[in-house]
Amino acid sequence: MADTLPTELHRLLQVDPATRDQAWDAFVSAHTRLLLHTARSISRDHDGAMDAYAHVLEALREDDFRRLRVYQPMAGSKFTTWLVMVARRLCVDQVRRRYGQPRGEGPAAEQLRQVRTRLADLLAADLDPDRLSHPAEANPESELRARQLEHAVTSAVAELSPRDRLLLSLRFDDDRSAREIAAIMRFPTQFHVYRRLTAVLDVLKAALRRRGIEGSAP
Amino acid sequence: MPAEERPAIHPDATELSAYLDGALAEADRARVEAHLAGCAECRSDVAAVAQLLSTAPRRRVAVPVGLAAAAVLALLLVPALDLPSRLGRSPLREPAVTTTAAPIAIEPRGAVDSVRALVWSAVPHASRYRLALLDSAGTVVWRLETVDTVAALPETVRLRAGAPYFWKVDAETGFDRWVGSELSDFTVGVLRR
Repeated sequence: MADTLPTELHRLLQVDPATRDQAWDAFVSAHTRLLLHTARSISRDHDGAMDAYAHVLEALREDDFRRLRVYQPMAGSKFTTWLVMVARRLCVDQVRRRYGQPRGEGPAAEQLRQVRTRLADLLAADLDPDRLSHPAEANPESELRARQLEHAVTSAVAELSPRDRLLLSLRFDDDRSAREIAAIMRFPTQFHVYRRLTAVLDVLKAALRRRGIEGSAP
Repeated sequence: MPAEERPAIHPDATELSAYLDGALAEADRARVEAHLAGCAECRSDVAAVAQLLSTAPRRRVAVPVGLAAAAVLALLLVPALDLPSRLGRSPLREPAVTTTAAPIAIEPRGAVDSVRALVWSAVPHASRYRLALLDSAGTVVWRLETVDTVAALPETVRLRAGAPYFWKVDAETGFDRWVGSELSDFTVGVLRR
């Protein structure tokens, strides 16, 4: 993981234009399996995947390898991680141009409200279930309480560190598994994810208590 | 807006990939995490790339041309030399297992109503299996060695509803040689209100 360009990329960007085709072949040969793997993740059928793969290669070669020239090596970072990120975005853009924006990306405000409701429900697990708001038994007092709880949760979450907020987002917004979260946030194991999640929820519960959200009494 | 042309408020591909590689300085990492916490699109990117990298095919190792040519020549000449007999191998012996498939955890996986037994795939030539069941703190709650690929959960092992558990199986494929499954997780009877 050096802070220099990979050999095949360096050759491609530096080589004499007369021999650039050979350098491009070498670059593609070195990374074709990864690019194909990325294309297949976006489109499950063979033709769609090959279309996406071809689009990525074309886009990387475009304008004298403009997209590849943007790459800045960084100590500790890998070129292949960057390449997969770029390739995936190219594939996603191609799909969107062809089929439109994917469904499920509703208004951000509504999504945020639903997420806060789920988190609030989890944090309220210590409360008396009989006193929690139920649609069939909704009354002004219980609805007010539910809104107070949601507001308190939102405020408490805002006080957390960015890392802890990201942990909650991955777990409750995106429903990611502990294994996925460990890979994204570089926790050593899934157990570390659960331990941190438990600790963060304890912090939030304490914050709710400080805000007067305690038990079932208003 | 195309994913590759997001406004500057979104971290670019270099920064997100450096984040995934753990290469960012502390302050930059905190800034990226603060952004990811509030941006579903960037989170989706990062999660997808992490998944792709963890499942990426291995890069082939290029064999020098001279070595490849020598290998082909040896294959052409060796039958005449009856090499297996010269090496003392019996022609009646089973071919050696050159690649060993790991056992695969079949069930339980994910959210389940109850767990009566743990089931995994068989590994060719495995002489026995070693199973470990762990709680979310990493504590082993049950161990077992068996020659079967099914293990009934004893009544003495009580699983808490809603709590995540993990398990893995190792298969013995030779003297002191084991191949292990990935760690699988499950949750029994999620609490409902």
